[in-house]
Amino acid sequence: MIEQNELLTLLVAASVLIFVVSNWRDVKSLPVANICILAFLVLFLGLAFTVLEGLLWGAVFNVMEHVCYGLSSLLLASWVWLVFAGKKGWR
Amino acid sequence: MAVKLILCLACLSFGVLLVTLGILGARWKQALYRDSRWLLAALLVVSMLHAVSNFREWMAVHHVAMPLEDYFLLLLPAIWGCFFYTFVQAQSRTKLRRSEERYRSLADDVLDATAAGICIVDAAGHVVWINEAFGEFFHLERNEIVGRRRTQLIEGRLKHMVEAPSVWAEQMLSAGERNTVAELECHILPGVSREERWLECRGKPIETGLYVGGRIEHFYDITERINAARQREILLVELEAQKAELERFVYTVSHDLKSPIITIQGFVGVLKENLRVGAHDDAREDLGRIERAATRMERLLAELLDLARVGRDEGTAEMVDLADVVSEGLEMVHGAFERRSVSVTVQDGMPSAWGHRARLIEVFQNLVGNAAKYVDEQTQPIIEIGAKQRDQDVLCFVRDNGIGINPRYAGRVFELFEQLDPSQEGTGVGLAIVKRIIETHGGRIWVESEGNGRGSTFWFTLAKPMSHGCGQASLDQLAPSAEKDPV
Repeated sequence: MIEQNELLTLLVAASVLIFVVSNWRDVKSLPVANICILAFLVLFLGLAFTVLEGLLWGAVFNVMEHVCYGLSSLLLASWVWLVFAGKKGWR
Repeated sequence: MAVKLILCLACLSFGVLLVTLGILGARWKQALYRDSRWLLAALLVVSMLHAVSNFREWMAVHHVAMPLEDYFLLLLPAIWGCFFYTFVQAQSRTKLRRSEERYRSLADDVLDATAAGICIVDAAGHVVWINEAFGEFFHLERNEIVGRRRTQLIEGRLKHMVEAPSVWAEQMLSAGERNTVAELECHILPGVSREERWLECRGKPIETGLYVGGRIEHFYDITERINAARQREILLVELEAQKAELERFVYTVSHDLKSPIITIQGFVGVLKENLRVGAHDDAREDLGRIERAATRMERLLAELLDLARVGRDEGTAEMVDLADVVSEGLEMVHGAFERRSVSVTVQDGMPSAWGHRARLIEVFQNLVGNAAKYVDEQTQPIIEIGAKQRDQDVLCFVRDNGIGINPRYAGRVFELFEQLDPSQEGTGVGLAIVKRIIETHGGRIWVESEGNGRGSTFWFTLAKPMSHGCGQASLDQLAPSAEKDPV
């Protein structure tokens, strides 16, 4: 069963994804942009899996959802670390 | 177990959060912009809280804070979106700032480096920008001009710097009012900290861009061009004068050389006739006349050659003592003085002058010889010679109490083959040679006489070597200053 708030969250994330794609050149100018964008994409996947788990393969998507959320948080933390503490500073 | 893991993860998350916030503070000026940084911090907090919450949910550990899970989930993409949005906006602002800097650099550096003066006026008639060259031309500061009305600038400032200000200002204002293409010239008069310049003003409307409807005016410095044109005019006049002089010279030479030839031709015919009839005494007289005509022609040619040689290949000039020069000149015409009992007075303390010794002797020889030749038979002939040092030159004179010169003919005595008294011996080349020598020495020569029977004074100047900055100057270097020496 699809939760209304989960769907709303996915729509918000999709909008952000569209914004990122349409402003790709600017977003790519972030330092170590790949990790940052990957963190968001993984979060987006997690949100997608959250919605999907209500439709089919609930157990599988639930695991993948939680893995994605955790991975997204770690990627974000890594990116912040690389940018602000590591040598891959702001160009 | 799960509770412990959650607690560990929560501690780890907050640790990362605190470290990150510390880093954010430390790298404040180098990293993201202010709003992006706060959003990033918020994103990090929410992300970590969500991770904890997510892990707790995954481990099926229920907690009192469970309803927060949904809020975290909704907040996360929203904060990501805000972060990307603010970053993209910040990037756009950076690009805009860099673009502005680039254009400002283009305007301030590149246009300031151009030699042409540029003035940009907006559609409302206010000066929005001038470059350095414009400021330099009119001795104006950019800060005091920018923002003022163009009419105010022209009427209040520029008008007072140019020649024919009313006409120029009217033309400029008229072109500005109609905002049409206009080309004018203006002559900036010299002033305090302002050089004299000739400018070509080209104004045209701005048809595109920020100042559309405004006007851009270029001012090109054409001073060199104007000066070159003036110099060309002077040279053309000189050339015309030289051409006329050459034509006169050719005519005079051919005319005066023709005279002895006609004499020779005439007496050759008479000689033949006398020889045919056996009149040997008459024939001898004819031969004598032919010989005198040939001698005169030879003398004419020799003096013309001498005239042509003046100022050419004469080596370097030197400082010469005019007392010695006068003395040698007098020595060469000593015979004429003896015959006519001429009394000669030479001023004491004659200065030195710069020139060719032999040529200067020739000058005095000719002038003194002339003075001795044209004596008044009724009076005791007296010749005075003198010279004095002046600021820019040495002024010399040869004065006599002879027959004098009608002031009407004062200018003609230096012309070739001109003789005031044709009955006197001579060719009429002497004073022409004197004039040429003086001119090649960078001086001038003129004659003053109160009229017939009142004597005459020949004045001439000789340029000082210091005024030319030369130690061993040739006459070629001295000669051009002849145009500048005041009489």
